[in-house]
Amino acid sequence: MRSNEQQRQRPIVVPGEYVGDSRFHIPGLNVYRLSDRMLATTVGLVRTEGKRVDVVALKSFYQPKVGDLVVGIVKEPGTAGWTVDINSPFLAFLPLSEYPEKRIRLSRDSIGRILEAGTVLIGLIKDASIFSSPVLTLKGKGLGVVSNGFLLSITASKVPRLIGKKGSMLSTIEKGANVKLTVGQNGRLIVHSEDLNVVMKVKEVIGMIEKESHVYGLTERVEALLAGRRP
Amino acid sequence: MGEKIVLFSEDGKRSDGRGLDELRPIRIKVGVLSNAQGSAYIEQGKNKILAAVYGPKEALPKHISLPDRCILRCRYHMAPFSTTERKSPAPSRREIELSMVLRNALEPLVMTSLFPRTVIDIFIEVLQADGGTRCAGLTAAVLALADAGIPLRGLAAACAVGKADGKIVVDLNDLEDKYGEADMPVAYNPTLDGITLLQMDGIMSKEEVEQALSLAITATQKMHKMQVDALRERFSVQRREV
Repeated sequence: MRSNEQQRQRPIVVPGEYVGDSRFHIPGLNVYRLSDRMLATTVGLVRTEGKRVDVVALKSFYQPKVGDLVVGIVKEPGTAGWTVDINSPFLAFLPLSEYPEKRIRLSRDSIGRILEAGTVLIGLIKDASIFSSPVLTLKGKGLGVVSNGFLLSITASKVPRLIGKKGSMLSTIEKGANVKLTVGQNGRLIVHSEDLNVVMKVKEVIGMIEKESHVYGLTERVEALLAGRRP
Repeated sequence: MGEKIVLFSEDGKRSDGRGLDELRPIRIKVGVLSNAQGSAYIEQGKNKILAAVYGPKEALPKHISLPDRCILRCRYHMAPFSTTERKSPAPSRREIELSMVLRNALEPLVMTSLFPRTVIDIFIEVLQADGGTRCAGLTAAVLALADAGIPLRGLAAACAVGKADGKIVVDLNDLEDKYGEADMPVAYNPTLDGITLLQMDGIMSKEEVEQALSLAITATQKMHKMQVDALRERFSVQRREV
């Protein structure tokens, strides 16, 4: 276990910076091997777990993975489904067969009328490969169209910090602001509330997590912010 | 006969008072534009250049996309007010060529295979030009890419070297660029120990090229340190006072 002082002083690495010797370590996230050297590919913080060395990016893109819960925005209705913006370099596809409505008569309803462009939805990545667009599904518990609430965003690499260990950070925020949140792995989250004050409070907390996730004592500062004290 | 341009003073200093291997004053700031995914601003002497990056995003029209990697699109442009006489805002032959040159220089740095079928847009806008804009533009563009969070093999910095009045000089200004004998822009990546851009205009002997190249590498290593500092400054947290 690292001491608090060490965590506080974790240095920021930049692309091309040496992060470890590949004879003793395994390159993990955002790290590549160049003969014996392991080098960072993005601006981030080094995290070592056993032999594996990762660089936790301070700014990153969402790479779709099967089973991820994501918050998407319908971009365009097509002929057999919808293209959905999932805050990633890749546009996802939601096929008609993955829409929960059992009977859709295309002769009667046009696809664009079922889900209009701009509709916010909570989906699950059903299929993702480097060869084709990721496929979404709306079939499942808690999935579907979002009818009310506010949409906020955070860089995708900070989502694990926002959720915390076993959801600890998320429950702290939910309790502190007395609101329910849905966090997508793609860095979008929905605040299920109509109260603007609550939304602004959550937004402030998200901003703090995004900026200060690598500085020691984040949970205490988030708690203080939620309680109305300036951290 | 026109007047002879004096490039060196009697004490051997250059027209702007610098020594032969001295860089112009450089100021770099990363993350200056909030709408772009990544951005950087560089001042090198009188050069003022902005770089912005968008993407990776879906490549449209689809037929331009590549199945195994992302494509880079680069636009180098000089603002109409960047020169002493108004420059037409339409892309000139030189700008189109430099866009391609910079794209080719940046591509080996970007891990393009991580984002197949997508495109990354890089914009380099010269606000004020004073010689060596392609080099300063590349230095800023690399930082804008890193600021956008795009995985890179390393950072690269660029610097021009050349020959003026028979002497090898580093980081040529506009005067030396126009009236010197040769100009050689070099972009160097210290991580991979590789040159990603090398052009030459003018005539130099083999020995002179070798000497110029080693001076360029030393200069770009200095600039690389400035790039790293600028990136760290961008991402270091400004903690609020308790």
